[in-house]
Order: sequence, then C-alpha cells, then structure tokens
Amino acid sequence: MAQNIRIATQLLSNPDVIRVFRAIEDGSGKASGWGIVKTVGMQAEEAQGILKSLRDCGVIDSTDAGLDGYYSLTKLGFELRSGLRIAV
Amino acid sequence: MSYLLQIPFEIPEIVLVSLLYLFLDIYPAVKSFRAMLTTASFLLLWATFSILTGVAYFFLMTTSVAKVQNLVGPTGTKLTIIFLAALMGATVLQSLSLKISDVKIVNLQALLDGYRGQVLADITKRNSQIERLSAFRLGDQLSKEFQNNVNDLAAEYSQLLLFTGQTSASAAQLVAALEQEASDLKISKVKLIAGRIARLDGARGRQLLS
Repeated sequence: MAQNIRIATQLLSNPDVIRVFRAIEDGSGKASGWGIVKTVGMQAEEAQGILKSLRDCGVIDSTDAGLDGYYSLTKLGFELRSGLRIAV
Repeated sequence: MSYLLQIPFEIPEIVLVSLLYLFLDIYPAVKSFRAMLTTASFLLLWATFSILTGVAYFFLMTTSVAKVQNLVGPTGTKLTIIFLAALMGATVLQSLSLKISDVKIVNLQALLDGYRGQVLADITKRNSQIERLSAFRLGDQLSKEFQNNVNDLAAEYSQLLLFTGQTSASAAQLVAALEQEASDLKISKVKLIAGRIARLDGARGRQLLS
C-alpha cells in the first residue's frame, strides 16, 4: 500500500498523468479508455500506457483491459484526489 | 411529551432527509442516482446516517422542541428539527475525535473519510459496469443498423478517431489493427467497429441510429 502511494505520487507529478487522472475523475466511472483519449486529446498508445501505470499502482480500476475498458477511481484514487485538490 | 410518541411516525421523513444530505454530499463526485441506490456500501452509509439522525432527532425533541417552536412556529417545528438532526448527525460523524495525552483514542473522522472513499469507489465502479453494458447494447444496435453498410460505419469510426486527436497515420493504424483483429478472431468487422464507436463516443453512436 505504502509502495503504491509512493509510485502514484511520483506518477501524479507528471502533467499528462494528471490530465488523464482528471478525465477519469470527471467521468465518474462513465468514461471508457477511448473516451479518455478523446477528452485529453492524447495519442492512443500514450494514454493506454498511462492508464496501465495508474491501474498497476491501484489508483484506478477498469472493467476491461486496454482502451475498451471503463475506468473509475479506487479508494486510493479518491484519497489522492483530495491531496491533489489541496496541492492545487 | 406528545411529540415523543410521534417519533416512530417521523421515520420516513428522517430517512428521506438523510438521503437528501447524502445526495448533496456524494452525487457531485459520482453523477448517478441509479448507481448510488444500487450500491450496497452506499445503502449501509444511508442506514447508519439515518439511525444517527434519528438519535439526534430524539435528543432535540426531548431537549429543544419548545425553543424551536417559539422560533419557527408550530407548523415548521417538525421539519426544522429533522434538518437540525441531520446536520447534527453529519457533524458528529465528520468531526468526532477524542484525544488523550496527544494520542487520538477515537477518530471517527478518519474512519468516515476512509469509508466515504470506499463508497465513492464502489459507486463509480458500478457506474462503469452500467456504462459497459449500455455500450454493448448500443454496439449491438449499431451493428444491426449498419450490417449491410460496413464502409460507412468504418468511415465514421476513422473520422471519430481523428476528432480524438489521433494523427491520420495512427488512425489508419488503429483501423488496420481492428480489421486484422476481426479477421484473426473471425468476428464480424461491423460488430467490432460498432462496439468501438459505442465506447469512443456513445452520443455519436446514438445519433447514428436516429
């Protein structure tokens, strides 16, 4: 858990990762990987890499693998969201 | 004293006001009433909060009913006390902590924040499952509608890819990969494209059906 938080915090220092994270947060679980690509205007492969990294460290969850899945924040994701708001 | 006898009859109002408070608190982060009301952890939070509001209502009815009645009049007394009870319940849940010699013995705030995070995660996960099923349904409808017109659907998909900010080269690559997938897995191309459009832009998918 502590390791995941450390990795997630490092990931979320990258502006592109923050954009993807925000898109998932705004989607409230209703955004697919493709929908997130559309929202952030990123190349599909790049977005897929970011989604995989965030998923691997437990910040987000998805119904299916890859861009066909629908993405939502996990409990850790919601906790980090509060931290991001404080940082902003 | 007659107010106390009425308390059991106020349970529906207490439960509804509790739900209203939780909607105000949680809805902005999850944006779905349906997902909220079908998530077990939310229902448990609602039940807990309703009980706490009920206890606060009983407390206010036994101690402050006359004062509230003097302030707002007899008609608004019951509703005012229920709202005050909901606020009391929320305040207790959100901020109760007991510190002895710099050590927090009771910290309901941390416990509630943790549980609230889990409720939000559960509801958005439920949202994802609902959306996924809805995308499958839309994909099926689109593939039926365009089964004899796969080229138009493929053109629409390519156009949507360009709108997402893909370069024409990467859009062509994605279309080619999808065609390859259809051929390798022996799945109808129209079905795959329809499913992808439903996930990429559901609103556009629905528009294509109308």
